[in-house]
Amino acid sequence: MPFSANSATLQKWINDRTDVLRSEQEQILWKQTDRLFAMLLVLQWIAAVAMALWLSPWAWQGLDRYVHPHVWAAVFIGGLITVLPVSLAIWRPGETMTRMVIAIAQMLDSALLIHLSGGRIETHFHVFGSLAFLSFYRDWRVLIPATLVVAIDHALRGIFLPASVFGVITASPWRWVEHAGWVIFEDIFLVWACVRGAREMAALAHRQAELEASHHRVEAEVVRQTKRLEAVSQELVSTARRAGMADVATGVLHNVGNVLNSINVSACMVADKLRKSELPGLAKAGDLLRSNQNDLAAFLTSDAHGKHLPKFIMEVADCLGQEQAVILSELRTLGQGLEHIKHIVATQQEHAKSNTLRVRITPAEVVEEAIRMDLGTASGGGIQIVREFEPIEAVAIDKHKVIQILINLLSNAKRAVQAAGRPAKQVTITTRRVNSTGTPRLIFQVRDNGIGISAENLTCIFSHGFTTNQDGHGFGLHSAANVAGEMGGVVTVASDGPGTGSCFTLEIPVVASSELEELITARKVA
Amino acid sequence: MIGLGRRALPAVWLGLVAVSMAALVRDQMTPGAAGQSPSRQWPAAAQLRRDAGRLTLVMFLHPQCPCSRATLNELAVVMSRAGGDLDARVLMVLPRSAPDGFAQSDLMRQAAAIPGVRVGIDKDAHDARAFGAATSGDVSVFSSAGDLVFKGGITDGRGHEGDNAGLDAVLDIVFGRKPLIDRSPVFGCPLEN
Repeated sequence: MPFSANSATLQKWINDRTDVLRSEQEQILWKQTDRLFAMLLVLQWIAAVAMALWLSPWAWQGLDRYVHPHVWAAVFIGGLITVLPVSLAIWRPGETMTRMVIAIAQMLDSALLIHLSGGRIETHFHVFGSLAFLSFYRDWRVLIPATLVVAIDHALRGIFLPASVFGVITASPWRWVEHAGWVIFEDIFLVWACVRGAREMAALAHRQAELEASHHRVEAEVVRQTKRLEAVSQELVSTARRAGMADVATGVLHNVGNVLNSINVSACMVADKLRKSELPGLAKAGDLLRSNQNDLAAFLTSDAHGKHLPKFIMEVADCLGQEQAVILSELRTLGQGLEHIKHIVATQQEHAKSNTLRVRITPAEVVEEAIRMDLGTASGGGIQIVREFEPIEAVAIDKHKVIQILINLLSNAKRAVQAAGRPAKQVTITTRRVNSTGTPRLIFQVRDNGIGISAENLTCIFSHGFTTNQDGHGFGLHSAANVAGEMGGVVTVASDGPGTGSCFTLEIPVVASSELEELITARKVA
Repeated sequence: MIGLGRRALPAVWLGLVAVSMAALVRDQMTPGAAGQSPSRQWPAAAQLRRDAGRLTLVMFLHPQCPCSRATLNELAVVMSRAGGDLDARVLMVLPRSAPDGFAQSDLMRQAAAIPGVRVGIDKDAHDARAFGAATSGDVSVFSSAGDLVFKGGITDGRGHEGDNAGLDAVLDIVFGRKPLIDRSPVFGCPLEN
């Protein structure tokens, strides 16, 4: 296809294609017309027989009658006229010879019908109608044999037969010339119509060829542009992969950063406890006991310090017990934080794979863990945490993903209430289960009475990079929305505007136990 | 079609059709039998009476002959041109032993519908023999003096309308011209067995 070649080559292609299309169109037209004439010829045959039977069924000789020769003529001559063109129309449609034979047969039918009708002038209309019908071929050449048949038939009848019968030339020996003249008169217009029709067909073919050329040019351009797009797309994919890696790193750091806050607080508390520990007092008591070990009984009963030492040791033991409990608690939180960080890292490492790790747990437990990791550290900030937990039995959920989202929402809520500066800072956490529409869903709602969100910010709050926090990166909510999407859930936001607080809702589908089993089995197999 | 060249086949076909058509035309152009040579005057034995002083046309028809429709059509042409100058008589010939109603045919009704034509029945073909008519469509034209001026058919083929020498001769006589011919062949069914 020379569509990218020069205009001369393209024009040649169009011309060649025009010839092909015109030839195809001609073939279609000729074959269709052949079939029409085949049917017409058969109908005319039937009509000729019917006409003979109606007009002259019998010939008479006195009282005797016999089948009129017209009936036999209609049956046999009519059949003879019909058989070849119909056969050619069936087995050789579209060929020039078929058209020519059909044209001759059609005019022979005219002669037969005229004969059977007794030469009625009205039957001569069949000649003119047939010529017009032949012009359907849009091939003026078919009019030549048709006209010749009419002319010869009339010439023979007009000249030779009367002369041979009468022995004289009648008053109209050249009447056939007049008849042929009228036929030629019609032929002139029909030839003109055929030529014009053929030209129109050629023009249509040319336009179609041009359209095809245009179509192919467009297609070629599309292919070229597609290739370019593919190349650009490859480049974009590569760039996106690099950007994605940066996103992953940002996500990991953001989520790890959230948990590190909690770990840091826990570590500080442990350190503070250890710093303020009563353990040094116990060491001093030990020194006293060691220095009086030779007369320990007298020391404990007579010495002013010794008498208080047992009580002191008991009090220190109580304090140390309390310290140990606090430290253990903080270490547990710290351990959970570290576990969460480990999961965050593991999740990102397996990002391309299915990283769903569902466990059966109640929503309240998930929220409590998130609170411990985030808001638990904020108790010192005077934030009141209100829990509105519906009693919901344990369900299979991806705990770490939910915690990751909740930590994001809680830390945002914490910042919002602190920024608002109200004396009563409050964050309300709600959990409930909704069964109303199809798949059961869990709802986690984090509502605060903080600074609120303006209407224009509501629309872009989940966009990557959007933040109103001077120290923020605009990644937390974006990441939360993405993670919710991975679980088949969604995060939404509502706020009546600045100063009215805000409400974030995490909604995730509840997976049935059987499905959970399948997931666990699949994971084990993997 | 087997064994014939593609180009030869249409020629053979056309030849067969031409021969068949020629045979048909030949049959069409074959005149009927001529009757006995008539006298030059109105036959005395005829039951049909002539109106003295009028140009008279006598036509004999086989009541069932389909070819004679064309003859009556030509007669209608003659009558339309002749006006009241021609006394036209059409006799439907009943052969011997003809069944009842044999004459009551479309042809008789067609003849009766032509203005100026009187239709009668020639029982046992009596007058047909008197006028020397043997073929349906036989026409005899007598001058106002009673002389036979034309005898023959007024079509140029069996059941075929159109200009012909017999018709022209009759019209010439009607219009007082000398006809080119005074005899012509008759195309139609034989009146008797």
